[in-house]
Amino acid sequence: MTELAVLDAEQALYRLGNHHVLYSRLLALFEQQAGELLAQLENNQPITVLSAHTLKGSAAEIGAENLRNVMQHTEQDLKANKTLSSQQLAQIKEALSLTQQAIINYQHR
Amino acid sequence: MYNKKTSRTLQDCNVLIVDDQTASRLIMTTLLEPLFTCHSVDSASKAIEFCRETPPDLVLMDVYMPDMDGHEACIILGNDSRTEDIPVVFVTASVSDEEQEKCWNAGGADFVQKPVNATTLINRVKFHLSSKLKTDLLEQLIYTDRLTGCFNRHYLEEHLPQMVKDAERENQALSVAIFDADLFKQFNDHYGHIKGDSCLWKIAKSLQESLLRPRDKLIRVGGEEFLILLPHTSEHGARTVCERILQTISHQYIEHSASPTGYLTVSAGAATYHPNTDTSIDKALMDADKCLYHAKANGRNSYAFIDEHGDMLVGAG
Repeated sequence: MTELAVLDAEQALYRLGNHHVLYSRLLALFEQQAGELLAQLENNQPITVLSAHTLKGSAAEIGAENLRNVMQHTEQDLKANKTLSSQQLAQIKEALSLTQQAIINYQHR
Repeated sequence: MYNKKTSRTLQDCNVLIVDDQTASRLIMTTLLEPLFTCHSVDSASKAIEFCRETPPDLVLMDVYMPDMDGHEACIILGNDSRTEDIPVVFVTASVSDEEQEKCWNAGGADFVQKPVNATTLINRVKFHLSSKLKTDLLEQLIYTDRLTGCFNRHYLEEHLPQMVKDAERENQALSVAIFDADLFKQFNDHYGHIKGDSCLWKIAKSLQESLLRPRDKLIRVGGEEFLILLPHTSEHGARTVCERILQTISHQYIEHSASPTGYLTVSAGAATYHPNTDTSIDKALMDADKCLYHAKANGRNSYAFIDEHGDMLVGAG
């Protein structure tokens, strides 16, 4: 299996017609949503289908393919009323922080 | 001509963006705003409300939303005569075979995949708006009387059944009023047909301006005869409209040598259809016509109407 991109900014920008201002605003919005989800995880609050769905969408828009994939599985499991394993939660946290780091790298490139 | 509309352009078109996700609304609005007039709401129920009050030319509808999803909203819009002609384009992350079927079955016009590709989104929206503009223009042409700009008989035949259905569903009275220019043959004989046409245009304009609600419809049904359809209007309301119109027309002071007042006047007849009773819209139309003849026989420049007890009453402007 080929590894999914942590942040494919080039592809995302191409999709958005190279609208850099729009892309920056999407990154800011993503950071806010990612921060909220991380806080939920830290406080051991359960993730809702809606918050998984929201982050999946925002990740897809900015080109965070790996995180989108993780959140898509999370959303599917939650919709099927499955509880998330501690392994899954760790996976979400890891994907989130990888994406956040990639955004920082992108912004300071 | 009266009510002549210049053709609308794509930029005049209203696009409603429906998505609970801030990021999606931001993207679609940013991409489409330079080209069209955009509005956005964050839930399906708000979208339905928006469409009923100010029907847009296109709806871009997210599928997965809490409370009510996009498919359900699309079905509701399609089942309402006020919103059934608005094309709905779904914007969806999942384009599996099942999801595609659901979009078409709900009555969607098209779908765009999320994350959206800017070029695809813009071109799909352009395509659907262009076709909507053509349909709107065609409808306007076939339903409009060329001389006066009000609706024609064809419009009446096509839309009256729906108005009756709406009245029955809402259990609301539907009033009809027929107006006829007094001594109009003498007007044409004396002033000629060009002046006659211009006079009809002025009458139509005054009638239109006397109607205060968008849902009231003005139709030219014959040479100098006009019909007004008044939904949600009782006998009392119909009488008020007749009075107002008679006054408005007489205050135009259109010179008419054969008229007893020296100016053009109109006569009117009105009746009201109450759903869920043993009457019908056809009976109301016949009654209104009878009332009109009565007003004419009663010296013109007056109106007659059937009151709530079924009695004919006469009045003047």
